[in-house]
Amino acid sequence: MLMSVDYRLPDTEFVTGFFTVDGHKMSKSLGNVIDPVQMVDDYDRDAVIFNLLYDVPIGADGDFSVERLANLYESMLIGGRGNLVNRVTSLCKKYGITSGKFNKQKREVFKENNESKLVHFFHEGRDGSKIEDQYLKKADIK
Amino acid sequence: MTITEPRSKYKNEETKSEALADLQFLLYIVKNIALFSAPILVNGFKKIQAIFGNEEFSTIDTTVNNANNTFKEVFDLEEFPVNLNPQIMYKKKEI
Repeated sequence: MLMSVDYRLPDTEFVTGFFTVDGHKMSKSLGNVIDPVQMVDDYDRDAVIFNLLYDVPIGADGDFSVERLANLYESMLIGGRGNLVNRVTSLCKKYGITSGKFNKQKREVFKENNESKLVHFFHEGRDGSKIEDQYLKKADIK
Repeated sequence: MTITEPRSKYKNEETKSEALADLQFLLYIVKNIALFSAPILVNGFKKIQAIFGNEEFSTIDTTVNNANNTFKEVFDLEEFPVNLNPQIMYKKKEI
């Protein structure tokens, strides 16, 4: 299509891996095909997107399991994010707080306590390998 | 850890104001984490918008490409009013 309209073809293409289910390729004969619409109905759109982004490494195949989705939903969304928002806003409401406010001193404390967790969350894959390394290795840049 | 927890700090008159400052800062953190993860956790973001009850924050629609400049403006806000309406973000599932 690109050639037919005289567009330059890409020099490099980033191609993601396949989704496997409990370590097996999805197939109709095995009857292990995942219905994403059903997953979104059962859990939440946020949970499905988060699971795929969190667990599937770039370039390699990524495994999907309903059990893992349920665990991530419970631990990261309900227990992590949901819990934080609920606790903070409930206490603020209870104590009559009517504004949020930045505080430089508190930011330093927050950074000190959470930096390692944030670095792990954003820069390391499930197997501990660096996400940037996976990218660069696949693109033969590194 | 229990001593530094906002609820405990609030009970002590000497540290009460610090507890309130902690909570205000936590609201700021929640606001920015919500904005940062809004393109991925779309439903969660909408819930937080409803919980905060901040007019400017509520106008952001991250499902629209290049939503609007409000995103940056709200991200940069160092102080913002809220009219809190706490609710459960993600409900437990019995499947």
